[in-house]
Amino acid sequence: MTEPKYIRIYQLVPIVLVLVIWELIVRQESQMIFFFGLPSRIAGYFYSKTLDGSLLTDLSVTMTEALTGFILGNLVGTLLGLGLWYSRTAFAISKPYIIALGSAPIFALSPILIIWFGTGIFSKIMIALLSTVFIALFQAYTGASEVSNDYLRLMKTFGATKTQTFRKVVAPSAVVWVISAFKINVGFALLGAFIGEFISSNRGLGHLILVASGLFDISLVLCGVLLLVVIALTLNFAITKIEPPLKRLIVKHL
Amino acid sequence: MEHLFSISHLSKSFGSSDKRLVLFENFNLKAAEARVTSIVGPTGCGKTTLLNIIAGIEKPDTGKVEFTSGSGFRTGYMLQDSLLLPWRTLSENAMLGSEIFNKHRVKSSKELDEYFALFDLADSKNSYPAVSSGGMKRRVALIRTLLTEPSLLLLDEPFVDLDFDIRPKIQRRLIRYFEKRNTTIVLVTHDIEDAVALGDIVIVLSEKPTTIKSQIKIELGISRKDPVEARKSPKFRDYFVHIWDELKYLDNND
Repeated sequence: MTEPKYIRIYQLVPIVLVLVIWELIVRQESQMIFFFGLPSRIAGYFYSKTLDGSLLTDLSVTMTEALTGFILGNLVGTLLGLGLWYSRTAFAISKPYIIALGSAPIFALSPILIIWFGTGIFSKIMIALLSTVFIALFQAYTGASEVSNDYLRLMKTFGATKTQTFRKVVAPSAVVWVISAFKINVGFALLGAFIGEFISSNRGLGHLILVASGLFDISLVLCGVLLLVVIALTLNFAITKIEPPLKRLIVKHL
Repeated sequence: MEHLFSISHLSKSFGSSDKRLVLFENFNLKAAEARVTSIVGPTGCGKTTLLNIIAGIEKPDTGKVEFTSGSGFRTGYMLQDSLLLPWRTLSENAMLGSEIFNKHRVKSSKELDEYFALFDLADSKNSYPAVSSGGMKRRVALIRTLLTEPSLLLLDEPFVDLDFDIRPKIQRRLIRYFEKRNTTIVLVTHDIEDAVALGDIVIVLSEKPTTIKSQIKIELGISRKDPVEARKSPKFRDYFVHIWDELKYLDNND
């Protein structure tokens, strides 16, 4: 659905208003900047840190961690979840573990993962992976098992094998569930990378925010947060873009 | 006349031992080759279950279905619901069955076009089921079954979604098509008119436990099988009344 052009313009009004009021109020009282930061100073940091290249490094490090963990977690989870459709017994056995691990706060394990996998980029990828994989698994399995019995009966009338049924009916109808897992997981992957950096790192937006908050530099913290939001929006946008071709691919070639 | 298949000593029941629903007990049926056998019966007498058993989707408790034909024999079964896959276009839906039968040989688009033209669907090839009417979906389901080139065709209420103006037209084309190919048809329906107009034999089933109440040979005295001409035949009404009385759709009090 496309909105009329004036809506887009009006959508900018609240944010501009907030920024202007924020700026004006904080400028009245010099102590306020300690608590609330200053929009113009956020922009200043953005400019100077882009020029010296550090912002781009932090951004790309966090993006790499989150994206790699996101892709691996979703890939592994989706394949396992769809694979479980083949065997009811395997699913019945693994179900309590999947539910337990899926509801466990993986982030609480982050310190252990840092110890296991080091303070580098790899441990963050693992945190992001583990915090996405169970959601992807559960969504994919649910999608596969929610396939209408009528369609399965239809496939039986054609004498379809289990693999044919999987390719023609199960996989295409699970796509919606898999995509929705992607959407949920954008946030979790990013949070995983961020928490890993927050615990121990020397680069990345989590590191930037940790250091800035240690210095009580609220403007710099907000600058980092803003970039996290940018990553999340970019990934979400990318998912909406790959959704239709992914669907077509599965329908046409499976 | 050769028998294409015969059902002997069939019994089938559902439910647990204390609340058993007996559908068939020692049920026997023979279907003649290259003939249309219409089966009518009261609601819930197990018409669909009977087709399921012939198609091999459901297993009978005892008894067996035997086919006399050997190689190249193929059963096509059109279910009571159209069951088109929503992510496929109408033409892609029509291909589903043949995709499963011939893994490598995809039907030529020319052949597909012919079928779509035959059933007045030429303009809707690339539409999706969501924007198609029930009658269109029904015809696509029919094409889907025909493309698998069955020697025995099981039809479960195949004309229910078709409006009255198009119904005889589709039926006439269907009958001509099958006469050319020597296909045996078993037609299950509630519609006595369809049963008489299309069938060479009408089998009337009883309430459950289901037995064959009567087998009525239809001889309308028209040279060529034509569902439209059949309806105009003076004998048509006699058969209709006869079957109606056999079925006792209505209680005497109504």
